Amino acid sequence: MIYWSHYITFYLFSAGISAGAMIVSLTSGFINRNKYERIVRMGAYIAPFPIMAGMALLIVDLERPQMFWLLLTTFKYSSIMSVGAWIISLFSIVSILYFMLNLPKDYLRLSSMARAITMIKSAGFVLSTSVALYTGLLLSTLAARPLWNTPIIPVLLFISAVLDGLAAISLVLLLTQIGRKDASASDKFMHTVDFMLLYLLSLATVVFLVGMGRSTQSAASALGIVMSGRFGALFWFGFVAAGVAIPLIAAAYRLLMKRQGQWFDFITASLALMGGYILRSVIIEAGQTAQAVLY
Amino acid sequence: MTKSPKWAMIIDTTKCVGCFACVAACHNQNDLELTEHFNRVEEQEFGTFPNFSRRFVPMQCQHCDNPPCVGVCPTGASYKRTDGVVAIDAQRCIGCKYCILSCPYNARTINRAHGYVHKCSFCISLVESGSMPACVSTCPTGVRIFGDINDPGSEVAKLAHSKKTSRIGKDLNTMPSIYYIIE
Repeated sequence: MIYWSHYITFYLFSAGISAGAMIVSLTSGFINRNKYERIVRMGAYIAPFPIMAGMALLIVDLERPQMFWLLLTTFKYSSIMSVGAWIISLFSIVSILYFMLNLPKDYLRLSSMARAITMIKSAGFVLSTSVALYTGLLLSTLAARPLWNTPIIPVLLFISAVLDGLAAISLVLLLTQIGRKDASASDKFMHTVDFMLLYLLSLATVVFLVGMGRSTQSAASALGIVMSGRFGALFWFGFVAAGVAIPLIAAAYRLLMKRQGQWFDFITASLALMGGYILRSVIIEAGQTAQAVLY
Repeated sequence: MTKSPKWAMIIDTTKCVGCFACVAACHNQNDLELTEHFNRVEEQEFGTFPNFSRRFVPMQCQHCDNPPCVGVCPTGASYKRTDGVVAIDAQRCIGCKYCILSCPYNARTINRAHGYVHKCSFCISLVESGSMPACVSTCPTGVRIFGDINDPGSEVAKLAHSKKTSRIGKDLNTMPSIYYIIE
């Protein structure tokens, strides 16, 4: 039985983009704020919005959406969903503050208050990391679902979230052509980070496949569901080939050959985003079908 | 001072003939739609050829002492009572279905008409008025034994602490209150 619809897939995907965009924005700003200003700004402009759409769908997917407020009058540390509801609420507030901080005009009147800015950035870093991590922990802590119940799932989803955030930044920068005149430094930075993330994602994927295949009967039969039929086609062609292998080769090619090409970047960023969605949709759907072997 | 009761059940699969009377009684008692089940009868094979058996295994909420559904519930709607019953406060259930996915026994269902999760309650209203749960009193072959596991003299306590019984899915650390006899 499928209890969580594709709304949940979209929610995990959009939360990943938001958290990832914020992580990329904050870290590139920390490394060199002036050199990578267009990444910093675009990440801050993107961060608040995808997760808002995702949260709306999350509420719609409840059987009693009119009672969603109970999530915000309860805090239960044993429930990753309860902790997560608080994390995404706080993230939404801080990501809007961070968004306003990066607007050309200083609406918050904070430009002279260095401590307040540092606090927003620190809170943003902790919260965006928490959002990207909790979406995987939400699944991996259920002992009843062998496809989810593995410590590599949160790692896989975390790396994929940062990659999706970077791809979203790269796509919007290409579409709007913001700061295109002196883009070479930031482009090179994005290509390097892109390559590293795809490299890590491919490693995590190998660990996932080998780990599940050589583990318990429950894990092996869960992997069997992912490897066969519609899920198999989506996983191998949609995620592994189109979402990881092709963007990884493209990223390596760009770095080694020092080639620049906006169309090239546009296509690889789109593929990475599509791969991120397909990964989540396979994990969410197949994961609900997979049962723990009890006897 | 005697301990307050903690309800538990023994299910002797060696006596089950697969008549599904318990399933029908459960539907009747809980006023369920035909598509919903608090209680079902699975067919399972045990052992390897040539030493194997095929059994009907009645399956329902195991009223775990370490219930994953209670841990994951974000609003506290799912809770564990002091008498051992895992219960749901329908007034607090938002229908997120996280508990359904957390249950290794697939014991929980949701009715889209009212939108909250529900499941076996050990027929606690019947039990509190001195009767047995509907599935127990209906079973024609005496598969099910229900009682207070805190009462050392009860049949449930004796069987639960004997080597004859085992609990299903104990690797998952759920610590069920239903003990099975499977040979």
